[in-house]
Amino acid sequence: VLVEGTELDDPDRELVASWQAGDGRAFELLVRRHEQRVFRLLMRMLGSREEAQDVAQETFLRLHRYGHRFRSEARFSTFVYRVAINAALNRRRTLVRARDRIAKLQLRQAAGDYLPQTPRDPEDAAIGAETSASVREALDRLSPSLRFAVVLYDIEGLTYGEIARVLGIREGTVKSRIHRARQALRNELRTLVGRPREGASS
Amino acid sequence: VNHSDIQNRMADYLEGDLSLRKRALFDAHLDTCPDCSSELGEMRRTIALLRRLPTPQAPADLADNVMRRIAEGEGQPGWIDHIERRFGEFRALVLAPGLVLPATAVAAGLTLVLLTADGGGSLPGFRAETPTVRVAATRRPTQAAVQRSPGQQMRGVPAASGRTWEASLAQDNSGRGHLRLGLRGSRLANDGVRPPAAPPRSAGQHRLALAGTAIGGSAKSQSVRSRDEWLDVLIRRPQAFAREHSELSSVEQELWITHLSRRAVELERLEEAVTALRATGDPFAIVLAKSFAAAAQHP
Repeated sequence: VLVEGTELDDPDRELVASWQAGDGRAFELLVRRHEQRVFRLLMRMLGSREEAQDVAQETFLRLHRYGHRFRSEARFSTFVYRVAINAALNRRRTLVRARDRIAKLQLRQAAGDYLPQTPRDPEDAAIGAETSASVREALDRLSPSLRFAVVLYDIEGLTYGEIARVLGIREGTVKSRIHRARQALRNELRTLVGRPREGASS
Repeated sequence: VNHSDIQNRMADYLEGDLSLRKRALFDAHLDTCPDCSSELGEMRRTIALLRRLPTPQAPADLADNVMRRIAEGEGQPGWIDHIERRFGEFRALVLAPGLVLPATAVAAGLTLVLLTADGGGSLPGFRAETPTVRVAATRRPTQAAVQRSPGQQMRGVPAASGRTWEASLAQDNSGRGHLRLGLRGSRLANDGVRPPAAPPRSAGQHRLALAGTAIGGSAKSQSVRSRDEWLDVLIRRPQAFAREHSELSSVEQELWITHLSRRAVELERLEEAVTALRATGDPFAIVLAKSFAAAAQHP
């Protein structure tokens, strides 16, 4: 496998090589290594646990199918994200009534699809259920391209360059989309972020 | 530094991407401008909210389910993947716009494939609407611009133009086939075809479609009907139509839905079609009804 540039440190390189050489067990390990990330991303994009679960499976099936296309010019995880996003996009396209779906999705969220996070840092404690529901709703109202950019950056922690690769757009576009997404979110969440509150970050 | 500078630079400021000097200028402005400074605060709090969303946990059986489905035969490479595996990315030349590039033909002779639409070149089950389609598949690299949705882009192209098109074949993740086209040797706008020199002879009649069947698979013999005739079958005998449709490959199924739903919309018969399919109570037909409704909503 040809590895070049900054991607020498891809932690998946060996597993991918074994898998491409025909080792099915290596693929299973890759699935286990990436399942949380893929699922998390899809939850953010699709909103419902049920759908995220379906599309996550679909993502890995596609990954299995398209594995030969991965050429190590990017990190494998970037490739995985790309496949996941395509799968999510595709799912969205085939949905008949988006509004019904969003309504259903909010019901499911209210019913507790999200599990509480274990905070890594006490300062960084997860926000309350009500607040996070508002944030998720605001995210869901963003146009897909804005949502993807901001989810990948602020939630998944990818770099501009990685997002550019995942979404197939230029880095400059990534940056401006993130900014526009944040602005839109800020407008949506005015009641939450509009006034500095006690203990709010500054 | 003024307001618009601040607006333009806010993202960089938030990321700490500004040079020290610019940052100092930015800070100086913030000190004197309550609007900018409150906006900055709001943006910061927005980002903080995003970063503190609770993390959903993947279901414990996700990987097991994936591996089981793979063991059951899902997630295997499709026909385009096979071609790519064997030949690398390939390109096709399409001479004159019109229907179709059957994957079997491409796979059979990658270096040069010529065919006509009234021969085997149409979508299975569709009578060719274009008199001549000549397709040559080559492995030549192309510099032609890429188009997103060939079906739409082909509208407004002179029906019988002798121009040479460059095309690349791609199959998306859902197994849908895409033929990307560009005029050869011409510079194209990013997303479109250059306007035709002459008005199309019959606009909208010549559609591009891509038919795919698995390599090695045999083409099923099928009654040949025009698009409108199939639409009639759909409305009058929805169950029979659904049965025929269910026997197509997934790529073809998608193409039929796209192809026929557009036509149904043009003829204002979509509702009739969807109702007819639903009324059967047949699960295949009901899924089809949904696909038709969805395809019409997202052409």
